[in-house]
This record gives sequence, C-alpha cells and structure tokens, in this order.
Amino acid sequence: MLGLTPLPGPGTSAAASPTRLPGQGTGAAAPDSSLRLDPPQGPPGSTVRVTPVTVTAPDQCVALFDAQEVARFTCGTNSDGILLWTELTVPETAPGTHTVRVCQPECSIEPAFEMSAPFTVLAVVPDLGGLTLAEARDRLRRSRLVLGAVEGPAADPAARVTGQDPPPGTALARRGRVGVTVAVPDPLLTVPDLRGRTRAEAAALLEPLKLVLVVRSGSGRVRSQQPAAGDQVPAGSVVEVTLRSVPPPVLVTVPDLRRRSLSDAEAAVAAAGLALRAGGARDGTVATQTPAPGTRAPRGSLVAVTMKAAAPLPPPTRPWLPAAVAAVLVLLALAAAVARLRGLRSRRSRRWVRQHVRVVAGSGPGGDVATEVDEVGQGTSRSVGLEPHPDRGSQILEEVRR
Amino acid sequence: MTTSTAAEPWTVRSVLFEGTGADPTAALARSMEAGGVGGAVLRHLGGLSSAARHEVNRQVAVVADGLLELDVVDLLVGGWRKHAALVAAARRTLAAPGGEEVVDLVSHRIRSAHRPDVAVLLDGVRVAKIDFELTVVFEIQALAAVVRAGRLVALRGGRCDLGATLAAERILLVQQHRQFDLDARLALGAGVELVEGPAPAEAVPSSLEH
Repeated sequence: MLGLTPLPGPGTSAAASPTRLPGQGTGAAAPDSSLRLDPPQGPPGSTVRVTPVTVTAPDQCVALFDAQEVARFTCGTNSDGILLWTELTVPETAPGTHTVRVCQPECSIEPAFEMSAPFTVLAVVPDLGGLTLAEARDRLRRSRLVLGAVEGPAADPAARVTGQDPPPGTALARRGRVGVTVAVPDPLLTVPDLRGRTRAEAAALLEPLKLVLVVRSGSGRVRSQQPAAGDQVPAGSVVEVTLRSVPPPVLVTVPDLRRRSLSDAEAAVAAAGLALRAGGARDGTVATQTPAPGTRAPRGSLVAVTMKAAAPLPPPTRPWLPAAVAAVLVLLALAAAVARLRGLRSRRSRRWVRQHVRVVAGSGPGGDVATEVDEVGQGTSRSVGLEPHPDRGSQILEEVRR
Repeated sequence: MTTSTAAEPWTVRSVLFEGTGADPTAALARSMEAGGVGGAVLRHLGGLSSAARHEVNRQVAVVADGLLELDVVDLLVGGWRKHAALVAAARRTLAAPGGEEVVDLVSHRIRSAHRPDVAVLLDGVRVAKIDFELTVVFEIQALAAVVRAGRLVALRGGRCDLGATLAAERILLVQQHRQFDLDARLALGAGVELVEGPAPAEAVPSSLEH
C-alpha cells in the first residue's frame, strides 16, 4: 500500500540513519535521512507502515524484511510536500529483532540511498488448554516464550492446563512469561452403546454415569449417537442421540369377549389385530377382560382375559326328587284349601254377624251415649253395652322461663 | 263451653289425625288391637261369638274416637282462665265498661289432662272398664291478648307448639305434634269469657279459622 504522510517530527517510530553504500557516486552528499516503522514491533502477520523520510524527489524504492523483499513503492516527497509511505506485512519468522531496509531504487545494485530500522517480531501466545505442564513448556519454548507461574497441582503428572495468562493469541516479547493454571481432570467415562435402545433405556444407562442424554429428533429407538459407543468422555458430558422415526400407532377397537370360549376369543382378538392373554379356567368362558370392550387400543397390543369355568352340569337325578316335588305340591294345595276355607268362614262369619249382631251406636257430642252390640242366636240373645265416660279434663297453667 | 263453630271445630281428633290420611276409628282400632288393649275385657265376653267380639272391639274404637271430640280452643281458654294477668285485666275491664287492655303474656305452658273411660256392660251388667288417658300440651310464646269487658276478644302474635297423646290402659295409641300461629289459627269472634260477668250485647261465639 502506498500512502502519504506529513513531514516527520519527533515520534516513537523506529528510525535509522541512511547509509551510503560503498561505491556510491562521489560528491553526491546524501541528505539527512531515516526510516520510520509504525509500529516498531508486532507479531507475524501484523501490518507495519514504512515511511522513508530522507528521500526528497519521488522515486522508485524497494522494501526488504531482513533479506526478503516485501514491497516496491514510490518513495520521497510529492509536490505538496507530503511524504509517501507503504505498508508491509510482517512475515512468519522467529520472534526477535529483525531489520527492515528501504533502498532506492534497488538494494542489490548500488542503491542511491539505503535506509534501515530494527523491527521487533513478537511471539504469539499459543493455546495451552488441555496440555500437560511438560507439553505446555515445550509448546511455549517453540514459540520463544517461557512458562511462568503455575497454579494448581503442578507435581501431579496427570494435571492438565485449564487456564492461562495471557490468553491464547496475545503478542508477547521474546521470552515473555505465560502463567498457567492446572487441575487433575475427572476420570474419563466410556460412553455406552445406546443404539437400538428406547429413550427411557438410554436415559437409564447414562444416568448413573453422570452423562446427559440429549435427543435430537425422532421418537423410536436410538439410531445413532454422538460421542460414539466406547469413546472416553468426562463426567457431565452430553451424549446426543437421534431416534428412529416411529409412525403413530394404529388404533383398533377391542371386541367384546365376554362369555366367549377361549378359541372364539382368540379368533375375535386376532381379527381385530390384537393379541390375547388368557388366565383362569381355559376350558371355560371369558368372565372379564382388559381393556374393556369398545376401548381403542394400539394394534398388536394385549387383551388380558380371565376365564371362568363353565356352569357345572346339573347333578344326577335324585331318586327322592319326585316325592319332594309331590310333597311341596300337596302342601301348596293344602295351603290354598286352608286359605279358601278361611275366606269362606270369614264370609260366613260376616253374614252371620249381619244376621245376628245388632249394633246400636251411640250418638251425641262427646260420645257419651252408650253403644250396644246385640247378638241374637237361636233362642238366645246377648247384649254388650259400651258406656263412655268423657272427661273434660283439667288445664294446668305453667309459666315457662327460658 | 261457649265456643262453637262457624265451620268445623278444631278438635283434638283433628290435631291427632288431620293430614295423616288415616281414618281415626280404623287407626284407633288397629292401634288397640296391636297393643292388646281390651284383651282382658273381651275375655269377659266369652259367651259371644268371635265375630261379635270383633264387632265389640271395633265399637270400642268408635267410642274412643268420640272421646277426642274436644275443642282445642276450650282447652286453651281453660288454661288462660287461670292466668293471673289475664284474669286481672278481665276484672278491670268489667269494672270499667268500654275499656280495653292488651296483656303481654310471657312464655307459658298449658297442660290439659283427660282421663275418660268406657264401661263395658254384658246384658246390662258392668263387667269391665277401659281407661283412656289424653294429654294435650300447649307451649306458647310471644303472645299478646286483647281483653275487653271481661272477655278475651283477640290475640296478637303467639307461636304455639302443640303436642297431643292418647293412651289406653297405658298403651300409647297415637301421638302428634304440631306448630301454629295463634292469631292466625284462632278466631275468637265476640270473645271468650275469662271471668263471670254480664253477657256481651251480641253474643257471637268464638270460632276457629280454617
């Protein structure tokens, strides 16, 4: 990238004096020059603005990072008095101090001017998470960094890095220190094979292992799982499963099996697409069933029935039965005859009363006139008198205190 | 007694059987037969046929039913004639013609006890007796009585709990309990005499409302 910049003043940029190369033309006094790098340090891949400030007339320049050409650009001061500059990307190289050179027009063929300035390449802190201390130390060494303070059970060889300071990606000067936190991880668990199991079965398998079941989709049995069976995972890890898609059940109506024989019940259940489980006297008839008749049940589900023994055959004819029946009939006839006789007597009695009993009922208020019942027989007459004695009574008055 | 009816009198029979749907005579006969009332009496009638004895038993029930022909108002007034405040008011209003007093009656109870009997005669000879016991109890609250010229002429308010029982030879035959408002149920017409005095100008007997 080529740019413009005002004339330099005091600053923090790295700057260096120009060097007249050997063999350069005599008598041509080099102007006071320097090379400004902004920023003067950075990690590989970062961008640095390079501004030659000693070139007055715009001319072709080349920029080198150490010996590697990294840019060609027009350098010098333009007609408005603005310095021209370029940007270069720090190449992948070891952390430490390197040199940036700008030559006009070439560094290799007697340049008119050569300017240089030091550039410090910083180290990028690597991600140490999960490494042992030895592994972390080696990784830092390769990054030209040094392991700093260690927190946690550093002496335990099983300890793993769980935290670091500064974090991964930070740029540090060569031999910069990186502190870490280590911990001994929980023992790893072997993920069980859940394939072919129901959701409930899978959950029951994972629960004691402190693994968490997450169902992605489906409603049938486990088709696949992640992590796979046999993988080692820490406690609390999630095991995701995908279930097979199960079509909704087809419902059928449970037939009425009551009072049917076992074979009849089996046929009816089979015709409805259900299964039968019979208990009790298998040579009897169905006494009860579950589900009840008319219930809608998934096709293939079970209908449980209880069989009851068929009614026992009538007992063998008893020789005394006819006699007993006859006796009962005789008794019934006798009872009927007695009832008829009593009825006749009652009617005769009422007729006799009408003919022989004369009632002379009393009359008058209070019933205080005698009533007579006269019975008139053949040559005899009896008279019964009823003589009421009313009582007007006495009234007692009492005060009621409540 | 001075009371008579403008319509049917309210009798003890009504108290015991009104609204029950039962024929009083038949109900009494059944109760007496079930309780064995008169059994001993009927044994004295051994010379009679069973049909005649049965008829005698039925007639005893008829006679007993007749004993229930007692006017409830008579029983109540019989009690109020012993009420000191009422009697005093009656005497004062007799002494000062044209005056009227309203007497607040505190809660009180009137117990009317009756012991009628039926004598049984065989060929004119008394052979047995059946004793009855009738008790009517009135529990009266919040009643004011209007007294004029020595007569109870009106009632105001008054709530009455009435209980009646009929027994024969100590066997309970029938009992009943009723509640009614005195001023609504009883109409006294020209009034009921509480103390002896001159007869009212126009003697209109008390009556019951039905």
